[in-house]
Amino acid sequence: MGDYMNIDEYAKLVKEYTPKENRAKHFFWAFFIGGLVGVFAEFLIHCFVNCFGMSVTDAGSYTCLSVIFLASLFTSLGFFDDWVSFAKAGLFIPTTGFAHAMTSAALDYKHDGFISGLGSCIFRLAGSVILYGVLGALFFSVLGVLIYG
Amino acid sequence: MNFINSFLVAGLFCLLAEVIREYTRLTPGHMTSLFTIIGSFLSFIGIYPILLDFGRGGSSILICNFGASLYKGAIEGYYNYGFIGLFQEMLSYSGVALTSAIVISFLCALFFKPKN
Repeated sequence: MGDYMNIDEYAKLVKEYTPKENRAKHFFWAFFIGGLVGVFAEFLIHCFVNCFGMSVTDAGSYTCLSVIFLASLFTSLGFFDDWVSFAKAGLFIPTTGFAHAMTSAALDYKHDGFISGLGSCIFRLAGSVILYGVLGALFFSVLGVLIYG
Repeated sequence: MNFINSFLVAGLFCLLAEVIREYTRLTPGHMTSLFTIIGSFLSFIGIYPILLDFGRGGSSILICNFGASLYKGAIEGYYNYGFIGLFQEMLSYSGVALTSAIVISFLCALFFKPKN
């Protein structure tokens, strides 16, 4: 018989080489970076209201547009992927995640041409949000109309 | 005070998403769809407008706000135009996010090359 390890040694070896996941650290960074994105949005709303004299509704729309613009720009410049893999839920639950999904799909499929590449694959990652968002909102609004009158 | 509230609202939603993701192994695509539906559900039971008052910036930047504004548009469309308003007005508030994401990602794809 060859020189096999016994099961206990093998289990020990597997345990040693399995990457340790520090969940508390992930939770903290998701909370902290998600919070920072919220503070940044609040700061932009303050700027738009106080410096440009917009109404709060308009300021909210412009903030949404600015955050999407920044997320898409950083994705195109190439370093947003690292940020997302570091902060995880902290960056894909805010609207930055939606913009990141669309821009990275657009960049990846660009070489297949404008119609069959960019046009048909731009919603490859972000399409599920639109599909299930619309279906869910339709379901709940019909339910709301039935219940609240 | 608004800044602290925004930090708390946005941070807690992201924390909740990270907890669900760590324990169930769902992908980011599942999580964003799930949180969009959670957003419509929260505005259906009347909590999301309170969150929008409480932490204005923080709750308006979450993907939940996309679901909440879809719900808001559909309900207001129903009261203004009847049944067809559900379909006609659903995207009226969330159109900003959708249109700007489409236009900006198209422009980025035009001007930048993919890395690697």
